[in-house]
Amino acid sequence: MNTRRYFMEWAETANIKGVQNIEMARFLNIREKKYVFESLHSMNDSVDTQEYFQDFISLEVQRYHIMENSIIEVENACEEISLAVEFCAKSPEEKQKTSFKINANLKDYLVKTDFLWTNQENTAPFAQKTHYLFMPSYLKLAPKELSLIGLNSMLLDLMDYSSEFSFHDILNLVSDALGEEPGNMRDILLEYITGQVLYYRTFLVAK
Amino acid sequence: MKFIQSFWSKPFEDDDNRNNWNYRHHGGFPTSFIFYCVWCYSCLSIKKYYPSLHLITDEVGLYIFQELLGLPYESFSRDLDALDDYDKKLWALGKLHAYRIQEEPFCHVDGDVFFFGPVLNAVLAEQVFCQSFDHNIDQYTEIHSYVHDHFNSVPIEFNATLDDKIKLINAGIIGGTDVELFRFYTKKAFELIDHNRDKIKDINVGILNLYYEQFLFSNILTEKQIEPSSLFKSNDRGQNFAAFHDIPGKSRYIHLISHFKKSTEFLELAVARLISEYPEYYDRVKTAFDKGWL
Repeated sequence: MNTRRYFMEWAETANIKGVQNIEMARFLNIREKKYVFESLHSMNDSVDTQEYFQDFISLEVQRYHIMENSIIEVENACEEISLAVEFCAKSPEEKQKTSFKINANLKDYLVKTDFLWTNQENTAPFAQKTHYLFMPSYLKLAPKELSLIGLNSMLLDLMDYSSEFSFHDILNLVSDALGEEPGNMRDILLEYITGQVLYYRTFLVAK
Repeated sequence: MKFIQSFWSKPFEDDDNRNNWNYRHHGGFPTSFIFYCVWCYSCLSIKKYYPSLHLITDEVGLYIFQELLGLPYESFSRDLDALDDYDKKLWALGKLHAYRIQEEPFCHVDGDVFFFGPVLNAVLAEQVFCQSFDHNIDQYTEIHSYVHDHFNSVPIEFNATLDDKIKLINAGIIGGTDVELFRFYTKKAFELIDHNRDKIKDINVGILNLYYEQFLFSNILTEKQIEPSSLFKSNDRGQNFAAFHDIPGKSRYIHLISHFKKSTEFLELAVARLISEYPEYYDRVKTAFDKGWL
């Protein structure tokens, strides 16, 4: 129950009947693609939708590639999820008082998966200012806007900064990087981190 | 108000259509193990707020949900044994048969819906209610003309001009006080199938299921000028039905619609929540698999 692949394998060990793997889960067939793309389309009609979709495809391919090929060694995923569920049940004010830590098991592949937009694995980690990220699907943001944050670099910076950090540490780091007022970033970053904590466990809630 | 869930085992065991979006092999989930975990969590989360919960199933379902898993339904019935002669690809018939045998106001809840509060209270007294609306009428363009051009006999309730006047209902939850209306609707759906069994093999049965389930009911409501109450006011595209991150504050209703059943981030949460909140039921699922009973 570590990566998505491990979760599926774990589920399948309980199932003695043959089970097929799901690969590229969001893109099993054209109808699912259409669903996702139409959702995207409805978010913002003013952008070049074709380019927008291509970005989204690259992003999803990248995300699944990372998820399917990396091992996150987590002793007890359920405990992590329980902590994440408790965190999600808090008010925004309480969430902002929470301390986080980066999931240490991510560090190796944060470095290894310094991907280009072209979906080619970077053979020279650190050489490119590229962007790795997990995008919660509920966020009403274009992939490009999120990619500006350069989440992988941010995560690595955070890990160097401290083993535990507050929401305001993250907020200051991101707003400095983007040249934005922290007040303008607060809500969207909180929502983003909530998704990371619950769905991807990139961030863990510090006990 | 009587709350019901329904499980018809034939589509679930449709091994010819594994991982096919249009059918319901393993309930549409990637593995049967996850399906059973999700079903247990659904039953238990509904039962927490609406204790009068009943399961309508067949012989196989009775064995699984009553004998093996011991889910706390108030009653179990084998009424879906009546569908044994129907094609396993006609997965929506199970739900429709469950509606048509009701004799009192009811609410049917899908097995991939979870409650985190008494969310249905606002709609339960209504004549007809549903989860939400969609407006994707275009999906029926092809099947609508095909059915009318090629089927042997089509009830007039399927006649319609495909336009936005028809508010398509999402039946994640569905029910109401007008039991006669549901009886009429399901009668027409079964008429379409019963009079055209020889045509089923020629078409995309996935969309046919939606046609006699969603389109028909929506069209009947439009023709009868009945405005159903909806749990959610915005249409499906404006609503996030898997907002686990907002539980229990803003989000008290989760429905793993369509592609959510394939998204491991959501499946993982459903399983983890079952383990965390109802460990004894998770253990029963696990044991049943370990021993080869499922």
